[in-house]
Amino acid sequence: MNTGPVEILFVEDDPADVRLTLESFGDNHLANRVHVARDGAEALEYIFCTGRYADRQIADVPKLILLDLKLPLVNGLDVLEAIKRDARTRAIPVVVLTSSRENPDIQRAYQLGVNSYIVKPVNFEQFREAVLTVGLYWAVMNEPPGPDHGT
Amino acid sequence: MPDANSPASGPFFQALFESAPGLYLVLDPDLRIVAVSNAYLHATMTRREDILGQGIFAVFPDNPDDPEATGEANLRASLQRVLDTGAPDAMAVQKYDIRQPENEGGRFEVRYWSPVNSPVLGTDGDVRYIIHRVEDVTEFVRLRDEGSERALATAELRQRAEAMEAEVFLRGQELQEANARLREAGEVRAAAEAQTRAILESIGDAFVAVDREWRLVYANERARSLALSTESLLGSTLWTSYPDLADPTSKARYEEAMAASTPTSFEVETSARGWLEVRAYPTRDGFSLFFSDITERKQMEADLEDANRELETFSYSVSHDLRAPLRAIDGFADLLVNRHLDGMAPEAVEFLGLIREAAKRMSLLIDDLLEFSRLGRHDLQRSPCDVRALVDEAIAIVQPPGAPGIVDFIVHDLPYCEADVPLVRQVFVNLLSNAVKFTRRAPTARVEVGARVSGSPQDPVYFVRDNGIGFDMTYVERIFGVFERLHVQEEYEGTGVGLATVRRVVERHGGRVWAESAPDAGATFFFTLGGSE
Repeated sequence: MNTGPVEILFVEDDPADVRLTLESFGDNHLANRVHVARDGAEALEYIFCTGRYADRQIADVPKLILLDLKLPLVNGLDVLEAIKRDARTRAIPVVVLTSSRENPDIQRAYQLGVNSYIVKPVNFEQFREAVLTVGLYWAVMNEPPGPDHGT
Repeated sequence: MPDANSPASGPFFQALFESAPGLYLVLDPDLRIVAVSNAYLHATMTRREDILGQGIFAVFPDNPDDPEATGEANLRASLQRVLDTGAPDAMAVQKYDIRQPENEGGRFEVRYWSPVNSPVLGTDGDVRYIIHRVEDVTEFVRLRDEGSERALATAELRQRAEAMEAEVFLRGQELQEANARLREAGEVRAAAEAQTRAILESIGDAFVAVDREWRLVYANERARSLALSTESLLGSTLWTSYPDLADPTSKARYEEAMAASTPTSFEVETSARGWLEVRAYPTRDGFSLFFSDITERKQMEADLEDANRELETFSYSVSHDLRAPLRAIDGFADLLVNRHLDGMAPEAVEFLGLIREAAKRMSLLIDDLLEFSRLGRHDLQRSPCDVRALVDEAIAIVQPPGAPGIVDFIVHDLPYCEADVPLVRQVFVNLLSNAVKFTRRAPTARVEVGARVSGSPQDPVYFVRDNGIGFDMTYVERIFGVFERLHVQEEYEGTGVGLATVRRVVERHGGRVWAESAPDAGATFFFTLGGSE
């Protein structure tokens, strides 16, 4: 299982959060199947197989995208919108994992079709529990849709 | 020798005297008649031979049928005066009735006479004769009497005329007064009009009145200054004089308001005048329109919006950016303790614990600060507030059901109010959590919630009372400030935002909050919510 394809695309610019998240996953053997994108532009290139990720196959979709909102270059909500607008990527579960509990952000994310919205707890124990639950649920327990043969 | 026919002879003088046209009688000093003129005889219906040598009063007695006759007495007095003084004596007009001759009936005829008695003096100056000359003024008196009747009639007429004149005068005066009153009323109205006009002229707002065809019937000074041209302004239509106001959207709104005869108001951005607020009120004959320059207000609103956006951005960055480092501090301290506890000095473990405590505390501060700043941006929405239910909810939050019930809550009757429900709940949560916190060391903690009416029944005073440690009233103003605390953290935890939030909420409702307390005597917090406005 550890050598399987990337199952989680983790879009996060804060290195501390990246490390803490990976540490949290690490205990449960999820960490080595996580790909980290450090800004919104990189996330879009990865998902749509352009630029730095041109050699990737778009059909090779991650099981889960963990998305921060406040990102350099392209912000999280724009990334979310691009994913949900495109039929090839629309089915990918996207969980927003952010520090913002600002109501407009939450509203907008759900309007765009986010699958879940998690406010990162400041307390590390709670944080670890939250990211683990999310990771395990979507990447392990959830049954993703099969390859899209439409269009 | 004088000829009897010569003018100077005696017979000639006698004939001359007797033929004189006047009425003359000549008396001797004994008042006997010695000569008489023919005219006299004729006027008195006497004959010369009958009266010559007779005493005058024998010939002309008073009319015995007239008891008021005074003719004889008056004549006697006058003749006596002539005899005494030797000077002529003119008598007033006398009524001296004349008796007809016996053969004609002997009745008395009414006569009026104007007599003058003149003396004829001898060379010694004595009175030798008296010439008694009379004029028959009967006709004159009759005419005069008739004349006086006429005069009387005239007087009556005059009186009537005068009465009429008086009447006319009175009417005239009334008319004049009425006119004056009218003029006064006119003046009052003119003054009122002038005053209204002066007010309309002096108001800062532009004001115009239009008729139903949108033609201007009045424009005050400010409105004139806003017009495209002041020439032939009155009579022109609103649209030609104020083309800025005539964009299709606004025009449609005017037309609609005119048709419905309802007031309307809206804001319009003009090319030359900036922002105008237009308020239109239907009048009997058309519309009154006020234009206020709200450019400044609009600018302030825009500034405020900018400030709000900035604050939002700030809040966003606080909530996002400040939390991330805290999470790192807490997270790595946690990992350090959990993974590398072995061989770590106990003091290092303690320090790591303090680092984690500080991070947790800073996180709380950020949360409270954000909550506090959110209050300012939150739109107040008043609705009927079941205060009793809110208090029950707040109690459940500060002391969750199942938690050891060490605090005795007493909730009195709480009237409804019009307020923002979530905000009022927050007020009670903050006040009750304070009350619970500061009664922690009381042997029997008691927290009371109630209300009393003072002033308007729509604006009750709510209170939360505890029997906790209380505070010194010296610091009463400080306790409502942000991050103000009266106790050290180890004693009573808290961020010092709770009461600041309470005050913010209450003040946004237009109410006020205050406290009464004394050290070790509990504290009572009162607040109002500004009624239902």
